Amino acid sequence: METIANFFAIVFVLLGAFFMLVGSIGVNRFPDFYTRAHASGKVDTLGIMLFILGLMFFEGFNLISLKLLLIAVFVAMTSPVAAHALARRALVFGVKPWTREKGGE
Amino acid sequence: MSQPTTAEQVQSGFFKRFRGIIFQAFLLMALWLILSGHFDLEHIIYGALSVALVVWLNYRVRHIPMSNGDCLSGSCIIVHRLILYLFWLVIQIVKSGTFVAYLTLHPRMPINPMIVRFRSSLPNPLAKVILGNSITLTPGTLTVDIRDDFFTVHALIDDTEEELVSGDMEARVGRLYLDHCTPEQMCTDIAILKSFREAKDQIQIRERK
Repeated sequence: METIANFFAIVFVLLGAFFMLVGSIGVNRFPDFYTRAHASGKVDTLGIMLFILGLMFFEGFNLISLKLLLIAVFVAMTSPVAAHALARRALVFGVKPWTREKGGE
Repeated sequence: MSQPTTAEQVQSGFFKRFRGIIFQAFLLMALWLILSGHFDLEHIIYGALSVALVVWLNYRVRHIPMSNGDCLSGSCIIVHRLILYLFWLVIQIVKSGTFVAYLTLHPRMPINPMIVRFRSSLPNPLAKVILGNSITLTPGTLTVDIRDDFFTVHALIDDTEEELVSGDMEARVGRLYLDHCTPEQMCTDIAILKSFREAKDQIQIRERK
């Protein structure tokens, strides 16, 4: 039983690390501010949640894993709000969105 | 168009009036127990007192009108639908993460970003917040602005934009508060903002008001 839980823990933590890495690559690769907000706001959220899921498997069902679940809920609620706040201020202050027609203007 | 019936018209009496407070107290008590980790009588009494204080403060906050005159009170969420909705949302988070990860790692990066604006007829501010958050969490879309009934959304590629304006998600959020609603009813006045100037002006004009 311990081994199976550890196996799932390792799989989910590795998956989470992969998504965090892809999120960082996305922040560098995407052409403008808004698309970068997509990368950081979504891929990183998934990465953190997989990470926490892996840690919950590692910990088993007790008080600590419940607290980890609270962290996951908190991340899921705040991460989109942060992405939204950044994108909104960017639009108000005049950061132009990149479009396919204009190319990397 | 007839006004859709809300959940609160169906329920009545004591339970309707104090449902929000009971629900809130229950959640806060659970939070207290998880965070404290002590289950003896003394700590539970302290917890109950704190919960009562917070509920009392929140009860008054919920009746202060916001800038557009709406109150947070007077709306009843349908709890069993909320739980189903959360499951659906988790699936959407996984889908959106993998989708954007796929776009990131794709060699030619097939994105075609655009800004979409639409009017939604959700019944209260809290539903709009839920919808805004859900839009950001679903594949390829990012809420940029919510003002009055208008949502401004940045979409990564065409497919995601079509999915957004089909109104499916708006109807899902609407069903948390209303008994019946259709996608067509929820999502109207769709416009793709071609120029950047258009999108920016709209926000600034409304900010000056």
